[in-house]
Formats: sequence, C-alpha cells, structure tokens
Amino acid sequence: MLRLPPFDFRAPRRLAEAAAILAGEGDGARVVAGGTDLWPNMKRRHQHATTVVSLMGIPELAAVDDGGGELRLGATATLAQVAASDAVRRRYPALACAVRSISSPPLRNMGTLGGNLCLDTRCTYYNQTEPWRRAIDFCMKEAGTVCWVAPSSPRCWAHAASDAAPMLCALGARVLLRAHDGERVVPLEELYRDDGIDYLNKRREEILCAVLLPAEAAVEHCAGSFWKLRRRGAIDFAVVSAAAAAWFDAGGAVERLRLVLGAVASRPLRVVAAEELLAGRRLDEEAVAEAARLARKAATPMDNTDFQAQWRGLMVERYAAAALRQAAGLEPGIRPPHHPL
Amino acid sequence: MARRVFGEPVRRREDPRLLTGRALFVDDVELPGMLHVAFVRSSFAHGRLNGVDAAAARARPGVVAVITAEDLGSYWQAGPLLVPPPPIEGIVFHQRTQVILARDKVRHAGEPIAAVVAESRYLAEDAAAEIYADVDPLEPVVDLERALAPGAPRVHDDLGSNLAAHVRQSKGDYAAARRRARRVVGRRFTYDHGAAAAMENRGIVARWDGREEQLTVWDTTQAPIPIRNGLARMLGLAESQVRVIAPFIGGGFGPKIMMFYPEEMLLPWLARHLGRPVKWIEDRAENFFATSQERSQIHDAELAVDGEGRILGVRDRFLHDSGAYDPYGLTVPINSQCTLLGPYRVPNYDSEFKAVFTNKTIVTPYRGAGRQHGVFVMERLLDLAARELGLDPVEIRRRNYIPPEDFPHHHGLIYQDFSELVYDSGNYEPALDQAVEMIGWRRFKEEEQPRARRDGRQLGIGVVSYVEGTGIGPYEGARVTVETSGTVSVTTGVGTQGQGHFTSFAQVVAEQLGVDLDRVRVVTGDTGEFHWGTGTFASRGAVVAGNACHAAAAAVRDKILKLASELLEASAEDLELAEGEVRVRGVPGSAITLGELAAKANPLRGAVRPGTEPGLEATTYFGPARGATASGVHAMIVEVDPETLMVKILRYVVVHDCGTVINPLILEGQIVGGVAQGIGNAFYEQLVYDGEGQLLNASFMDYLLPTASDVPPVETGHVVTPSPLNPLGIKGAGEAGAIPTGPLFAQAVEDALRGAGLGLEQLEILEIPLSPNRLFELTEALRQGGGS
Amino acid sequence: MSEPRNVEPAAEASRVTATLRVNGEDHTVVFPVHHTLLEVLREGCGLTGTKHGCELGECGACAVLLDGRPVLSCLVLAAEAAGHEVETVEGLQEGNRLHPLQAAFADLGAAQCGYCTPGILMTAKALLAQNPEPTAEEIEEALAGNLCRCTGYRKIVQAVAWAAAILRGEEERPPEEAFLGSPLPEVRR
Repeated sequence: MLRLPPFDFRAPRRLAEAAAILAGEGDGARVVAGGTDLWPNMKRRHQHATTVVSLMGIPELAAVDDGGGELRLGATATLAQVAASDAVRRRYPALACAVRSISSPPLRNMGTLGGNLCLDTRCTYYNQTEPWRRAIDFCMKEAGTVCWVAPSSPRCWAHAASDAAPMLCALGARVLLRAHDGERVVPLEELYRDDGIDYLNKRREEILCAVLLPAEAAVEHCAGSFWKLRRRGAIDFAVVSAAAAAWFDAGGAVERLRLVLGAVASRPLRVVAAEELLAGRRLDEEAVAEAARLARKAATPMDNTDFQAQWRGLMVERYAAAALRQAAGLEPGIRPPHHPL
Repeated sequence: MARRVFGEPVRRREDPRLLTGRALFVDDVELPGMLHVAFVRSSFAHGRLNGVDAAAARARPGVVAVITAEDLGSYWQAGPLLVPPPPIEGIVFHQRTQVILARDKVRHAGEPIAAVVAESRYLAEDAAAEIYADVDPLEPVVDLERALAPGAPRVHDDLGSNLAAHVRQSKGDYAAARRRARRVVGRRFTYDHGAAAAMENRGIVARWDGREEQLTVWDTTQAPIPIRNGLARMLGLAESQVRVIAPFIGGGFGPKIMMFYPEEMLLPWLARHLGRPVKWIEDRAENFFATSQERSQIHDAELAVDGEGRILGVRDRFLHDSGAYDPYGLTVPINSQCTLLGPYRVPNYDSEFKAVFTNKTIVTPYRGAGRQHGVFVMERLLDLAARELGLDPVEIRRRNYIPPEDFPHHHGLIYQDFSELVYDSGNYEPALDQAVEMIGWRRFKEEEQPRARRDGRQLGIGVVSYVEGTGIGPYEGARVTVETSGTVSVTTGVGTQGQGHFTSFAQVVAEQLGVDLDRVRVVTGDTGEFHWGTGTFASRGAVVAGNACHAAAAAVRDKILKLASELLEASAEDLELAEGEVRVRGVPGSAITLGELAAKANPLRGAVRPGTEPGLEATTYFGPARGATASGVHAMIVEVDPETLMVKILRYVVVHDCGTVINPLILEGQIVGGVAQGIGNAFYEQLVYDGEGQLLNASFMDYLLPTASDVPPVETGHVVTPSPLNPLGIKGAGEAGAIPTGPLFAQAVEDALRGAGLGLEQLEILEIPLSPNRLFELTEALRQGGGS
Repeated sequence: MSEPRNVEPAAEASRVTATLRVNGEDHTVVFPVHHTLLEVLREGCGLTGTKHGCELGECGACAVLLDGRPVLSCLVLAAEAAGHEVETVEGLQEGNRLHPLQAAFADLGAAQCGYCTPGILMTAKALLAQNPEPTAEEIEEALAGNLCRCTGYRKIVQAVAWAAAILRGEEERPPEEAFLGSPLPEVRR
C-alpha cells in the first residue's frame, strides 16, 4: 500500500499563524495546499515532512480579486476556480487555457494555483518507485550524490513541470511571498532557479500568497497563447509547453514579446534570443520560424523523460512556433489531437 | 406470451449492486481480528539472496510475524505447472515455476522475499521498510537474443541456458512452396510488453476457522475452483475444507488466472499458521512488478505468394519472452503460432519458436494471449506482399480467405487446448464487405484522402482480419434448481470479472424454462456452491459455461415436463412452459406453477420411485471437442499530424462473427472495451525495461492507459455463423476487440504518411507499440537515409 | 450518528477524532491524522463503495464529491474533510430509486466490472449539476481523470448524456431500441 508516513498536521485559519508555525518548526515543516503534488510525493517517499501546514483553511489566500486593473489570484484558489474565473477567462484567456490543460478535472478541483507554481521538478530517474531508486542508489535530488541523467554533472537536471508557470511568466505575473518577518513581491520569473533540486528562490518559511497579473497583460493589450504537448487528453504532464505573450505597436509590429517554455529545463525557460529577434518585427511566418529555431536551441531537453531528446527538441520548435503563430493570429501549423482549447 | 430473453440486450442483473457501491470486492471483506500483510520484494531483477535480516521489523509494535522462505519450513515450494506442454513431436520444455518466497536467488524485480503480518497495513508496511534483504546483484537477462547467446548469465542456474522451450510445428513443404513463389516478403517484427492493468489490483483474504476446520479464501482470481483444489493439496486439507470465493472482481483480462501467485500460496497458510484472518491487497506499484505481464516477441517471418497474391506458404522463427518463470506453460507462444494463420488458406507453414527465460515479471496470458503477435505478423506480411504486387489491402485478404465451403478447416497443427487446430465454421468475406462498406473504403481512397491531402492533412485507412480460437475445453458445469418458491437457482464454477455472466447465464436458463429473468438467480465464483470447473479465460465463459447452463436447464425442463404430464394428465408434447408455469396448450386454466411442481417433486411423504431423483434439479457438464473459431474484420481511419507524429483515430469499425449472440448489449461492451485496450496497446502503453531489468514506468502517470478523450466511438457490425460445436452455436467474444488493433494501426498510419509527399514512401511499421516519439525515429531514419 | 470507530488498533502517530458528514449523515471516527479520506471512508465509516485504484491520484477510482466537487479521496486527508459535505456512491440513490445516472448506466451497459464505476458516477453527477446539457466532448473532458479498463468509455459517455436528458425532464428512459441492440446515435459532438 502506498501510504503517507506519520506527521503532525496543522491547519491554521490565519496567514500570520501559518507563518509563525513555519518559522518555529524548522526544516521538517512543509506547507500543503491541494495536496496533489505533496501527498503523492510523500507516499512515494520522494518528499518528507515532520509537520505539514495546510493553507486551505485560510480564507484570504483563496480569493480572486479583480479590481479592473491588476488581477490578484489567491495562491490557494484551485486550478478549476482559476480556469472558471470570469476575470481570468475574460481578461487572460491564455492563462485559462494553460490551467485547463493541467492534469485531470478532479485534480484541478483539488490542486491550487500556488501549488502548481511550486510543483516539484520531475525526472525519469527521480520519479520512480522507491525500490528502484534504492536499487540504483538514490540520485542527488534525493539522498545520493549523482545525477543519473548526466552522471558527470555537478547539478540536477530535473525539469520544471508546471503549466501555469510558463504562461504566467510570459504574462509578466508577480508573486507575493510572506513570512513571519515580512513580505515581498517579486516577478514570478525570479521565483525560479535553474536547478532541479533547489528550484525556488524562496526561503522555506516564505509562503506564496498570491499571483498578481498586470493590467497590461490583459487581452485588450496583449496577445497570449499556450500550447502543450501531452500524449493523452488528460492527466499527463507536459512533454513540452510553450507560452507566448505579445504586445504589438500600432503598425502591427512586435513592440515586446515574451516566449517561455515549460518542461525543458529546471525552470520555466524564457527564450530571450527569440524575444530580442522579434522585437520591432512583424510576426510573420519567417520571423516565427526563425524564433522557433532559437527556442529549440535554447532548450536543452535531456533524456530525462520517456521521450527521446531529439524528438522533444523538434517538438520545442513546433510548439514554440504554434504559440507564436497563435499570438500573431495565424494558423498554428500543427494538428495534435488534444490541444486544450 | 413471455418475452423472449435469449439473444436480447436485456439489462445486466448485476448492475444494481455495482452501481450503488454494494457489490462485494475482495478489498471490501472486513473480518474481526483480521491481520494485514505487506511484502518485502526484490529491488533487483537478478541477484544472489544471501539472507534476510528481519530482527528490527519483528520488534516493532503491532507486528505479529515476519515470514521468510526459511520460516515456511516444508511448506516452501514452487507453484504448480498450470498447463503442461502440448503433445507436439520434438518439443523441449523446461518447467521452472515461481516459489512462495525467494530463497537463494531473486529472478525479477518485485519477487517476494519476505512477508510482514501486522495489526494494520500501515504497521506492516512500516515494518517491511526495516527489513534488510542482503542481495548481491547479478548481471540481469533482459534482451531476448542475448539471453540465448553463449556465456549469457542464467536465470535458472541449473539449466544449461535460458531456453525455456523449443517448439516447431509445420505442415506441407514450405521450402518447395518458396521455390515456386513469385514473391517472397520477409521482415523482422517485434512486439513489446504491456500490462493488463485491471482497475482493481489483486487481493486475498484468508480465514481459518479452527472449530469448523474450514479455510475460506476470498481471492481476485478468474479460476476459483483450481485455486481451491491446489490449496487443499498444498495445505494437506480435503477439498471440502477449503472454500474459495471470487466475489465481484474488478477486471481480470488474464493475469488474474496466473495460478498460483506467491501471495495466493502464502496467505491461506498464514491464516492457518497464525489462527487469525489475514488480508493482503496489492498496491498499484506492486501490480506493475508482481502481476503477470505479456507480449515481448521477436519474429523473423516470411510469406511466399504467387503472382496473384495467393499465399503459398509462411515461415516464422520467433523468440518469446517467458519472464522469470513459466507456470502457464506454452499457451501464449502456441497461440501466436496457431493464430498467425488467420482466416487464410496457408497450404505450407513452418513455424518454430524458442521461449526464453528473462529477469522480468512472469509472462502469462493477457487478453489476446499471444494471438496479437501472430495476427500482427500475418497481416503485416500481407500488406507488404500487396504493396509489392500492386494489390489493394482489401483485395489480397479477399483472395486468400478460406471459402465458406471449406469448413471445418483442418490446419494440421496442435492448438493450446492440445487438440488439432480445426476451424469449426466461418464465413469471412461478408464481414470484409460489411467493414469496407461501413468505413467507406472506396470513397475514402477516391475522395476523402486526396481532398484532405490537398488541405495539408494526412489521413490514412486500414483494414485487417483475424480469427480467434475461443471457448476451449476441457469443460464447465452448471447446476439448475427450481425452488419451491418458483425461483430458479443457477450455479456454475467460473468466476466473473465484468463479463455479465449473471445476466447471460440467466438468459440461457430463463429461455429454456419459460420463466421471467427476475426469477433466475445466478451464482458464480464460489467453490462452496459448485465443485467442478476450470475458470474464465480464453473467451470461454459464455461458450462453455453458457452451454453447461443450457444443458442443465434442458435436463430440468425434461423433469418438469415429465412430472407435469403426470399431474396434468397430458402428453409432454402438449405442454408449454411460460410465465413460470406449465400449461396444456390450448386448455385455459390447466396450469401448474413451477414452484408447485418443485414442491411435488420433493414430497415430505410417500416414496421417491426407484430410478428418479427428488426435486427439479440437474447438474450437467459441457465439454467442447475443441475451440470454436470466432473471426472479424476491423477497419479504421486515422489522421497523423506530420509535424508532431501524433495520431488521432477518426473512425473505427468492427465487424465480427462470434456465432449466436446471447446478449448484444454485453457483447457490444466486450468488443468496444477490447478495442480500447487494443488502441492502448498499439499507441499508448508500453512497459519499458532498462538494461538492468528494471521497469521504468510503473505508475499510471507513466504507463499510459487511454482516457475517455483518447478512445473514439466504435461502430460495430455483425455476421452470425453459428458454431456447430455446441448446441447454442456460440463462439467467444471476450478478446476479439483487442487482437487486431496493432496491425490495423500500423497499416493506417503507413497509409497516412506514405504517398503524402513527405519522403516517406518506404515507411514500414514492423513493431508495436508505437508512439509519436517512435514514429519520429522511424520517419527520421527514412528522411536521413533518403537524403544521404 | 454512529459510535466512534477506531481505525488503527496499535499505537501510532497523532490521532484525531472528527465528525465526517457523508451523504447527509454524521460519522464520528477516530483515525491517525495522516490517513486519507479514502481510507477513513472505507475503514472508519464502513462505506466501501469508493475504491482504491492507484493511491496517487492517477486513476479516479476513489473520486467522491467534496462540497459538490469531484475530488480524489486518496489525496485528501480525512481530517481536512471534516466540516465539508462528502458524497459517495452510497448516497446516490434515493431510497430504492436509482439516480438517473445509475439507471442510464444500467440501461446502456455502461458498467462492466464496476470497479471504476462509483468514481465515474460521482464525477458525472458533479458535471451534470454544473452543466445540464453537456456535449460528448464535455463529458469526455470531465471524465478524463477517471480511468476505465473494461468499457472503452463510449457507453459511459452515452449514459451520462442520457441521464442528463432524464434530469432535464426530456426523457423517461432510453427508447427500447437503445437497449435492444441497435446502436444509439452518437451524442452530439
């Protein structure tokens, strides 16, 4: 039986209380929101905790506030609530699309936006059964010293698995972090580090409280798009995902654009070279193709999923192109069976 | 007039329980004082087991016992060989069956080494985590060809090699046929492992009642009676002391008949040894390692045809992966060998296989049971030959079908049931015509495909045929009893895992006795209720047990008529059974209910006359001489996105012939469900083993079962060619849907990509499962090769 | 209200006593705090209709409704479910009357082995509460987290569409031919 190990469970009603518990409990404490990542990870003995602090009883963390300007999404708003939120669908439809592509409907009812942004990184070696991991010796992300993807590597190559993160990074979202000793707001992009183990620029006791979406990224100013490659119509993590957000000038040329890839690096991967290339240009077929090639170059998909790196590399190009084309109002150019709306 | 029930799509009698959550599954059995079992399993695929240190685990609170091979004493044993090798001349077969707990050596990852019994499953698992199995890893045997190379490490040290079996069957003179051939096409075909992945994992609850000296075992088995018999033998009990109950089972598909799983041998022993009920429920990870799997084979096959595409002969040499042990004998590779011939005339055939031990989970039948492989090889060879001859895939099949007048058709081979491979009946061309018509073959080729290509969309079509040997012996039995309440009780020995037996058997009996379905109560899967039988496998439940029910009902009907004719003073020919009573035809008011008759047949006073039996009851057995051969044609249209190599199934058509149909609603469900598994097998599911013999995708996150979004609507059509081998004319249908999907998928994807101007004219798909990733590799190799 | 039942016999981690409201009835149970709702429903409340399938949220067999929304009870702590309305398959029928979903599943043969069925019924119930007239694609999407190995899903999709029609008051039962063999027209896509 895949069972949870024993732990102390705390369910504070106020954020300050949660922050105080985290500050007091030390390294063994973890927060949980929807539980769709932490519980399976603890059942598989990937992650451990002596105290688990649930954020789900804290009403202020779940709120979605749309004042017409910046949209504030509470970190424990469920993925289903985010996808169904009138403000999100109306103002940031590409985000609704990205969130709808996450996992399966019941897991979207449970999983939260904040949880998805903090999702543990994944890898073919790491995400195995416990006996197998023990048989080959634990990798460096767990208790060992070696990265089995690249045994000579000093770092862990597990990849970021969130679908919301690339889209929110593209839209220029910021996040609010709070701990017992204060709070800060940082661009979401800066929350991530390019390291499979230590993938969040966040102190352990900091709680991700809210996601702030800028008004300038709303649909009337910005063309957003999201494409995700997965084998099945549901459940699967992305093989690769591509999120684009483009601002055009009056003449129809790109004023500014962000292109962010998911599942091909330990963090959401911004393709700066493509963004620079496209700035000031018209987003036509030629520009798209050129930018997509740069995306492929920037991504270094390792054989750390069950897909061959070469195919994934090609898919990066295709899906980046699809996202860019869609942002430009062109046909996406690929016809996979399960594009999430 | 009572409504006819046989052949009608009546609602399932088991559904009210299943749909309300009241149905009892093994995991729902809760007994006072019950202990829970967790297993320590091998982390390594191959290794020397030096010892097990369980001291810490034994000392933990709540732990009642830790059992290793040593603790079993004389009960430690290897499981039985379920199916001995068939009587084929020159056959080589090495029996090596699985043991209860590993001793000396571990031979696949997941093999049980020790069992912990504790007050709860949590406590048992926590203790199991503290047990140290001292294993020196050995070089694992993973690759089928390297396994047979000289100097390869050996799975079983006492054998000279990893050869598990060697079988050759042939007919005619293939070499001579080859010399006459206009074309010979030969390729290497591979098929990889898949998992049955029933939604319910395995589980066992065992209780020893010391006062009654009775052992009761609830087991997720497809074959409760053989389990009962085996347990009695192993435990030194009378069969009457052992009751095995297979309650509602959450899907079987074959692996739940791998007798005996180590856990199945251990739990009943534990219950007796400890004097307390014990329960073990497999978790999903264990299911991926410890429940049997199927499918790896490598075929080197060739087909010789004349100038018109008529088959002159087939030669096949293949390797079959047995996994670490071979308790199920040679059923799977023999099925591959025999099913390859398909619905075609094959005058000359030479087939030879070697079964190979590897350090992988045990291989036993999973829905299709080797038939997929044979069908894949033959259908692909026909496609290749058709291409060389410029023939249409429909046409080459049509030219080679066994004609309707050529039945029974003798193949001159020995089948898995040890009898000669003879097709009882069949009529293949109408099914092909219907399938081609339903899918709109000509319209697709002439209009839809070219139009789609002009729009930049790559559509492809395929059509394949298959036969399936179903309903094999040896026998099943049934007891039918008319009770004094008028209720008709029907009992059989087979288990049921979703096939609707509670309904189809009731239909068979209700039809015979003229009673309403609501008055028929069916019991399956409880050895306390019926003592003889084999089990549910090989698409045989409806055929063999269904006919046993029919025969028992007919015998009861005779008793009813005999007694009623005495009581009503009318000749039996003038009586009719309807609405739960016997009437004299045309004489209103002259009726006696079956309940009244049953009471009179079992009087409290007076003598039962010599030569008669009390009551309205009969127990009858049915054993077919050989299996009935079902057949069918599948066709599909796919769209392949050349940019991503993702495939979408646009249409799927099945036309099948399983003889007389008892319940079309249930049949449809079997066919469509089989197709879904076939689609999974062809494009989503593959058990990936690494070079160390470790399974890399042991979860539903990584082993991709198709979801509701991935299975297309399936259109079905029917041809009915009754089997002459049983009175009801039934053929089996349980596996048919899953069998031909692989070659169909390959053909349709090839059709979509060849001729699309993508430089893929030479694309050949010779393996299953596929994936977008693998299609990319295949197409990329062609593009690279073509470019250089 | 039932007597408190103690799920775990031996001493272990911290334990809670909680009252779960399941199908409108209160169940007071004592259980270790790290036990899941699935385990406590089955072992503490004796409601075994909800099934174990994978325990990792990958199959949907354990789906129940929490305040009307389908969730996977293998990934919910029982302690977290206290104070919320839990609905399981045992609460679906009203007295002896099958819920229209159950009736439609029976009429169309949408259950085979029945193991995934409770989770699918509950997920479908939530869908129909939210969307009384779903298209086939909407049904497929809603059920895409519930794996079924027997049916190939098509009859399930049809049955949910049929139940929706019954619930809208448009249909009483499927037409006779629907369960007399002839294929039903596919649900509008």
